[in-house]
Amino acid sequence: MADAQQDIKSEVAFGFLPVLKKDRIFGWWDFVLIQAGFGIAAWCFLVGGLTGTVLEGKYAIWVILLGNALPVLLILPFALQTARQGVDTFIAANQALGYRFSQIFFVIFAILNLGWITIACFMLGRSAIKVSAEFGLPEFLTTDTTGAPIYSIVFFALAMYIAWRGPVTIKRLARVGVPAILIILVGLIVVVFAKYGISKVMSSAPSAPYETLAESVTHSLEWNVGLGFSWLVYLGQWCRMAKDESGAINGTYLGYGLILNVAGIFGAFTALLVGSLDPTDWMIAAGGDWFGMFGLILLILANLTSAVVLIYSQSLSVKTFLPKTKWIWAVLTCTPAAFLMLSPTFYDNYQKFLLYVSFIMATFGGVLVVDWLFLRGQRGDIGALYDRGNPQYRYWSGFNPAAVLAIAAATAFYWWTYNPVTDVAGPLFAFLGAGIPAFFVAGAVYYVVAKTVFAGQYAADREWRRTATAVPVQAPALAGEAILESASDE
Amino acid sequence: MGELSEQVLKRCRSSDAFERSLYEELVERLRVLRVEPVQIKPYTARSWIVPVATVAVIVIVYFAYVFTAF
Repeated sequence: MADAQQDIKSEVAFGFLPVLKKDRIFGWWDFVLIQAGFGIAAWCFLVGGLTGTVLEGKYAIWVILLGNALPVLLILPFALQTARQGVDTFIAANQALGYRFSQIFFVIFAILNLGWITIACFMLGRSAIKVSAEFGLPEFLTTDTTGAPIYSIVFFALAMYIAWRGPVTIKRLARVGVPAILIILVGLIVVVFAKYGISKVMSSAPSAPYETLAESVTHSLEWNVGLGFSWLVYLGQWCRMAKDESGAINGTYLGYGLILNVAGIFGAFTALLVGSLDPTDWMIAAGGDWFGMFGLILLILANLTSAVVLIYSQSLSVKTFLPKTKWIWAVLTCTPAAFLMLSPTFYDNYQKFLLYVSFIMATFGGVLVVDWLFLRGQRGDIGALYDRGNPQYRYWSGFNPAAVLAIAAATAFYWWTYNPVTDVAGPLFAFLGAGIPAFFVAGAVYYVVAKTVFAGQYAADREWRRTATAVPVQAPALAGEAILESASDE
Repeated sequence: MGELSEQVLKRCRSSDAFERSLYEELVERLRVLRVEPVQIKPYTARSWIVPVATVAVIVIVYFAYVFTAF
């Protein structure tokens, strides 16, 4: 365990520090493989399944493609920022949000992450009760109300233990879990083409469409947009290791924006054929008893891996923010997810969760992108991103008021366009949903407010004007060379 | 171009060994970045061709095929 703790400390340090040229190891192909490998999981199949329950196959394809590719394209400039500066998402976000608002952004990420963990664990629980039923285990282990929560929480505890063990154990699990999800995907493709045929898919009617096609399209578009924007918080961890900016742009886009959609589209096709949005229902229905059981076991392994990766990445982020925190406490910050697993309610309302992700990530994304592209001229002071004593990105007590106002305005716009609680849509919703317009509203309001109401009031604006002809990315001059020399000698 | 404040420097003298080594490494890396600020090859207009072109196609098909079916 001592070695594992050392590995964890190394990963925390690596996640926290700005990367140098020697650390930059990812070309565009590496991005495609890693991001598709990390991204293709329960959430892709579920969002595809949701889309397939309300839309015919011929429309589902384009809704899934648009809902994922366009948001990923829109947030790519932020990927570019993290690639150029070589820093993680929440450190890069200091530049636009201010230190304290960036911390709030991190807390929001951690809360949403609990949702993703719950989705993975509960799908695992549902798979386990179906396996239990096949083996004739007692009834309380085979029902959705008792068995699924029990299995979910037990496997969640196992996932936390594996995450606590550190990267070596996780890598061992990933060698099984990642191929498992890819085998499921290949299995779905084979079932769709060999067992049913594409013409059957295209002629199948969705099992639970909305009253009109317009409602089905816009609602399913919004679910996919939620998944597309959700990658915003995960961009930095990979893109900062880009060997060149072009690789970060294209690799991220191809991985998260396009290839992931294969899982979503075949999820939609399978949902159309089977009549259920839940991947745990697809396995035996589409594969028969033996292949179905095999599929369910693969689904358990794949979701366990996803849960471990999510828990581990959240724990690392906590440790990066608070380096003195003990590793066990960092892992335990994921514990509240267990409460969401006590009943199927959260899992069965996955679409609502996606809507919350959509509006939160779209509004933050609009601000981050506009700040980097248009307000800071694609420049930043890397040292100031780390240095809270530096006024550069302190703004107003650690909050950039222009960003706060823009996010508040875009949130109001989103809820006016579409209320995810009551499922009531406004007049603009039928055009492109609410998430994508909210992204543009956040960006536009941020630009206007920063350029008018708060123009020149903060060090970030003044510095940008003063160094407009300087090199694109700057690190600070170092104070007290003697102090630093002595510090490094300790 | 600012200087590192005491907020960072005091962490280089932290009693917590991990925090101290972390911030020492940070200072060292910032020193390197100060000498060589841009670490990777910047993007060009060509870098955006694939993402923009594919999204353009998807948007056109969406509005021409799906949206008009409403």
